[in-house]
This record gives sequence, structure tokens and C-alpha cells, in this order.
Amino acid sequence: MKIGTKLGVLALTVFLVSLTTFMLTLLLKGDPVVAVLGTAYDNKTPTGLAQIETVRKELRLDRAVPMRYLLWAKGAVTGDLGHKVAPSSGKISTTRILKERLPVTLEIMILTQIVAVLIAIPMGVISAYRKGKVADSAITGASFILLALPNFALALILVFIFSVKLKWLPSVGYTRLTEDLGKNLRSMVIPVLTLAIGLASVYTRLLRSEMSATLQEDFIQMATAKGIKPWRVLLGHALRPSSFSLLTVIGINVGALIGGAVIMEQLMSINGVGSALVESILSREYQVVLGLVLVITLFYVAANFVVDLLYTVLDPRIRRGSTRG
Amino acid sequence: MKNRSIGHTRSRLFTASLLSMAFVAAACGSSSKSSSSPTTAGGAATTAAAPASSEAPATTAAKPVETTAQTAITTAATPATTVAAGEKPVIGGTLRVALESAVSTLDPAQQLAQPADKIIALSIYDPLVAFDKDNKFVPFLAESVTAADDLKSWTVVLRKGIKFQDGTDLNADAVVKHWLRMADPATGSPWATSAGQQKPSKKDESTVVFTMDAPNVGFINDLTTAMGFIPSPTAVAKDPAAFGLAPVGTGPFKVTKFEPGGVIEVEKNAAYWRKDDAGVALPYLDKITFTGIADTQKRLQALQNGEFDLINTADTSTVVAAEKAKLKVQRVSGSSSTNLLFNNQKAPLDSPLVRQAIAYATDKDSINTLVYDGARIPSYSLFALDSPYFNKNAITPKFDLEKAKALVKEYGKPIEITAECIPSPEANNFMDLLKQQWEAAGMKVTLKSQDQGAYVARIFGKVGDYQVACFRTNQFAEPDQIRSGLVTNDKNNLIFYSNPEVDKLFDEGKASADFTKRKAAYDKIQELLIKDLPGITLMYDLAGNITSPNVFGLPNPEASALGAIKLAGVFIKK
Repeated sequence: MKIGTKLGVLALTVFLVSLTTFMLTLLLKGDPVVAVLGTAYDNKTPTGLAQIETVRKELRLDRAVPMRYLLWAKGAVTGDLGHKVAPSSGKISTTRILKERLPVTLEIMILTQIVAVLIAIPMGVISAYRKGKVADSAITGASFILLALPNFALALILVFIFSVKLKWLPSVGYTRLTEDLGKNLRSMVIPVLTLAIGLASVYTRLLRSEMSATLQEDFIQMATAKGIKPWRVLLGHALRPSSFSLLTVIGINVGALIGGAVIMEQLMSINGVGSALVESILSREYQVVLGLVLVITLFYVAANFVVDLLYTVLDPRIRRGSTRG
Repeated sequence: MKNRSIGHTRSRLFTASLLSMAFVAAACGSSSKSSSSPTTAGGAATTAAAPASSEAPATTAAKPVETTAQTAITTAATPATTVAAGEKPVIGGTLRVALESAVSTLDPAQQLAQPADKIIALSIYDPLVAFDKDNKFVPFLAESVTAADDLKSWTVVLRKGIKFQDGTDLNADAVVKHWLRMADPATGSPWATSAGQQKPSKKDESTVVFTMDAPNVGFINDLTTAMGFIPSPTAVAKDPAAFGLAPVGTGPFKVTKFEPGGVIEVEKNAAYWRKDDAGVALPYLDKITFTGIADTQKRLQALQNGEFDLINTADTSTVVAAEKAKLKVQRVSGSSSTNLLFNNQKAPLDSPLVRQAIAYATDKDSINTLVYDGARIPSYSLFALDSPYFNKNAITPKFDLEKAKALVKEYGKPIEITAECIPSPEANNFMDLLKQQWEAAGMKVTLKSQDQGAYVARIFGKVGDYQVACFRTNQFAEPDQIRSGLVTNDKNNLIFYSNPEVDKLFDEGKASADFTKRKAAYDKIQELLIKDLPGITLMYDLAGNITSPNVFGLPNPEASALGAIKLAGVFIKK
């Protein structure tokens, strides 16, 4: 597929996701005005009724359903992602929520991927190289156990060990990167480790099976026969052709990690974009829900786009194939 | 150890609603434990620095009762700063506070009724009127507050020479603008209706006269709530909708960082007007950080880890655990209570026989023992035991299984009840017990639960599809605050209760400043309510402010504040 076509497909994906999200918000039960006004909701006095009318207008409930989406989409295209409508929310804009909260979630996700890959590569390689031996069995066994452990349980275990008993790491909260790098990294250890361990188990298994196949290939036999040291054969020759599935799964897991980040954000009282999304759904702020989902989708789609591009870097055959058309 | 909070710690919406439910509570014919009122002097809190045992008394003893409503107060004495006796304050330092919920706005037009909202708001703003240590009204930002004899107008004189944190002068215009903004439907304020019935007019630079739609003795109490937190008109004018994200008041601290839902930082307002008894300028602290952490045990754990210096909780088991861990615990009791709302229009709850049967079948003592380790106090009245409005001849039925069975029999038809609450472990525990107890009396009970946000929205939306619903309510300084939950067709009457006689008595109670007359009205209301039994109270809640040992100077929590305290006089010893 040409890059232009690919980008077209991505744009279509983003549009369909936002449209679906919008339709899902329509399915939520109950009057959104009640949820938005909360304790200020009053349908008995003239003042109360005037308040209700204002909120209905702001929620665009006086417009036809397709119009509501189009107005939102028009704003989104021009960079206005909407704002909360509830008077008790300070009418905060989606952009401000993203500015404050996206860096937190992104940091968790990026660090998690890095840590997971850093664990998985040596483990997967050793496992494949020593296939059937003690090291392989130990790694395989450990990854199955860690894979079976739900991340919320793992997080609690890590909190118990590192915060409660050893008092090395904070048990809650988040310090911004810009404020204090040391504190920031300390506050990242538990959430990142929790999410990375599960992912690393998947990556290790994947790399092991790909790599064991690669190790059977003629060019590896050749390299070994030439007397090249085993670690150079493994990392220099075998790793690259073995990492395609891993790369694909890393891309797909960007989506899964958003879900994981929501759980970690709740568990560790970290205010990321995941918890912002949950809050906005509960308070029926559909403009903000759509805005956040749009940005998350963009990241997901972009990550997978990058993965696609990386294939061509890793495998010259694909590059040549694409130029041939 | 399970998390037993019924609702405080989880959802913002739920807690926020509690407060206005304040009214509802009453509706539930329940405890509006008036721990302090214009005429009362009942303490709402006891302070105990690591009491020897966890059996420390949960409420203060009754205090002497006054016999006149406070309709005129002046600054004979400036508000006490309550620095712990014998402790020399330390100037400077940062206090790290973890609160039970994240805060999304600090706009006083938005009620700020949750403890988390209020503790931060009390750092940024000064209320016009506050409570002294005996929970009597004292002027705070006001110099005096005086009612006309007919209670149809109130005159508020402001202190002179006070500036907002942005340099704007505090004057009559600022107060008038605040009231008009609250009453404006475009603001979307929960105070809109009340503020609209209190028309402000500027008399001179520092005097505002409020004209009431009807005689209103409770106005002075409104001035202690966020209605009486005066915001800077300059800051409001800049961006009225977003003022809650960049709040400016006259208080001891100014906001330097506000991440809605995240961390809020405030720094010392060097130009603050108050001094302590020794003449030292307040506040003592340089900086405070507030973080919302919903899980009560995580807050306690983080405090013990040294990540925070002060936390609040509305969870009984956390209070008890903190006391056992020898932390400094300020118990706050009777500031709210757990209630059962009955839908008075829906069969079989439309029959007083069934409501009576439920009340007699409910064994509050065993709930207290089994769910709360005996740390709470069962509640049987609309008012607190130490309230002057408490009518000891009108308490709701105590546990009597035989009577309950007899009432079920008298009703004649099979009684099937669906009782609802939120799905917290604590709520599940006591709902299970209630089911057992009611079924022992011969009723058939189905339990249902729904997430807090949706639950509260549904009950407040007055769909009327519930039969019995658990709720928590704030408790009131002013007995008139229970009106809204009980009078016919009020928007806060969530139990669909209607008794014209009760409606009339509430009007009488509001229109007089004479304690004897008011007491007669509220006594009569209580007598009617135990007959009708539109709802019942279960337990007075137990909340707490917990600190590490080096934190000093915590003032007593004020009435109706759910434990929220002013931090100007708090200091940290290294």
C-alpha cells in the first residue's frame, strides 16, 4: 500500500471511531442535564428552569442529533475540542485537560514499552538460544506466571513491597517531569513496572518462537559455521528478522496500554488522560469524551503507522516491494 | 481491612450531592443533627491526640443552651485562631494534604460543600460569618451582621482595609456582585434560588442591606457557607465561567497551581489581615499542596509512609486504624449521617404501617457492632442529642421485633421491598444486615445497588422509581435547612412526603427569631414526623482529620463543614 492510501485509511479510522463514540454517548441512559447540573438541578423555580435551558443549549440538545456531531466535528477540525459544560467544572476545555494529563499517560505508556522491550529481548533471545534447557524453562515458566497475574494485583504487591515495607517509592501520586526528574521517575516505577511485566511476558514468548524459527534458517547455520560468536549471531543476525511480529504486537499494545493505564491511574491516584476519560463519561460531558477519544485514537493510529514504516526499515524487501508498486 | 466508606470517598458527584441532600436528609425524617445552630452551642468535634484507646467518646457532651437566636453579631472579639495551648508556632514550611476527592472548581457560586472543596476554599476565601469554638456565629470578613426586627432585612457591615489577593478592595460592591452572580441563571449556581430571594443593595462603601422575600432567620447561617465566601470581582469579571479554575479571595493563601482533578498548590498571602493572639501574622505555613486520593486506606498508608502530613477521611475503620497506629486523630462526629429514604408515594411504602414496621425491625446497635466496630452512634432523631431543638419525646422507634411482626400482620398483605444503595463494601455489609433484620419480621427484601454517580442522579432526578434508598446527609447548623427535604413538592423532597401541617410549621419556624417559638414549631414537626415516619436515620457518621505527629494547631472543625478546617493557624515542627 502506498503511504498516501495508508494515510487515507487512517483518517477514515479516526472518523469512524469518533462517530461511533458519539453514538455510544447517545445510548447513555437518563437526562444529561441532570448529570451536568448535579445539585444545581431544579425544575421547580423560574431560575432553575432558566439554568436548565442554558445547559441544554450548551449541550446542543436543542439541535438535531447529526447537527450535534457535525458542530463538534467542525470545532475539532479547527482545533477546538470542546469543553465541559457543567458550571461546577469551571467549563474547563478539553485542550487544557489534555495539556495537563496527556503527558502523564504518555510517559507511562512510553516507559512501559521501553522497559517491556528491554526485558523481553534478552529473555526471548536466551530462551530461543537455550531452547528446551533450564534457562528456557525458567523463563517460559516465569512469563506464564507473570502473564497470569492481573496487573491490579501485581501493582498492589509492588506497592506493598516497595512503598509499605521498604519505603523506597511513593504509593500514590505523580510528580511532573518538569518539576523534579528524580521524583518523577520514582513515581513512575510501580505503574511502569506493573504494566511492563505483563507485556514483557507476551513479548518474550513471541520473540522466542520467532527466534527459534530464525535460528533454523540456513544463513544462521552459515554464520555459526563461519565461527562468528554466538551472541553476535543472535543479536546481529537473528534478532532483526525475528522482530516483525514483536513490532506488530508492540503497535497493537498501544491500545491495550491505554486500558492498562486507566487501571494504574485509578490504583495509584495518578491523574492521567485515562482517569479524565472515566470522569467525563460519568459526568456526561460528551464534548470532552469525544475530544479525548479523538486524541487517543490519533496516537494509536499514529503508533501503528510508525510500526508499518519500521517494517520497511527492518526489512529491505518490503521497501523494494513498495517502490515497485 | 475493608474499605467501608459508604460514599464519601468515591465519587465527586455523590459527595457533592450529599450536601444539598442535606435537605433530603431531613426529608428522610432523619437526622438533621443540628450540631450547632443559631441558638445552640453543641460541639461538632472532639480533638484527641492519639487517644489511649479506640473507645474514645465519639461526640462531645451537651453544652449549655442559649435561649435567643443570634440575629445581631459584632466584632467584639476577632475570631480566635486556635493555636494549641502551650505550642509556640513555627513559621514557614510546606503542609502536604491528601483529601478524599479531587476538586474541579473553587468557585464559591458552586457550593463547595464537599469537605475537600471546603478545606481548600477556606484557605483561599474568608467567610462573612464563621463559628467560634462554641459553634456560635461570629463575624469574620464582616464586622457586624444585624437583622431587622421583622427578619425581612439583614444588614452586613464589612471590615475595612481588606484587599483581595489581586489587590482589589473588599467593599460592598464585591458582595453585591457576588450575590447577583449567584442568582443569575447563566452562572448555573446551586445557590441561585436562595440568592435570588435575598436581594442585596449597597448602602455605603462597606455596608450591604439584604432584603428577604420572606422573614428569614437562617440568613446568617448562609453567610457561613460558600455563599459567604467573597470572590474578587476583578478576577470574576475576567472570565466568569472559568473563575473556579483561577480563584482569588481574601484568604490566608493564594492559589499558585490548579490542576483540576489533580494537585492544587497554595502559597502564603503575605498581605493577609489576620493575626494570632500573640500578634504574629497569619498564616504560619509558606505553602500547602492538596492532592485528591479517593481511596481512604491509600491516604492513610501514604500518610504513614511520610508522603503526606494531613489527610481527611469519612471512613470509620480508617479513623479507628489511625488511632491504633498512634497518629494524631481529630474525630469529627455528627456532621453527617447515614439514612434510609422511603418513597412515601410508592406501595407498600405509602403505608405508615410498613414504614413503622421497617423502623421497628431495624436493629441499629447490631449494625453498629457488626459493621462499624461499635465506633459509631445509632441515630433515632431528627436532631442531635445535644441540640436545643432535640425533642426527647419524639424519637423514632427502637428495635422491637415483636412490634415489627405485629405491624406486618396488621398490614395484611405480603410486603415486598426493594432496598437500594451503592456498591461499596461498607454499604453492602449494612444492607445485608438490614435485609436479614427485615426478613426476620416477615417482609421479603430484595437488595439492589447502582454506581454512585448514576444512583444520586437518579434519586435527585426524582424519577420516583425507588422504594427504600440509602443516603448520607450533611447536618445543619440552622434547623430551617431541613425544610427543603420535607415540605410538599419541594425539588429536594426526594421522598415525596407531604403533610400540610408540617409545611405550615416550617414557615412558622423560619419567620421568628424567638427561640421558644421556634422550638415549639420544630418540636411539633418532630412529633408529626415520628407518626408519619417518612424515613429513618441509621447512624451518625464518624469522620476524622488525621495528621503526622509534627503537625500542630488544627482548629476544631466548624458546624456543617463535614470536618473541613481552616489551615491559617496550622504549623509544622521539624
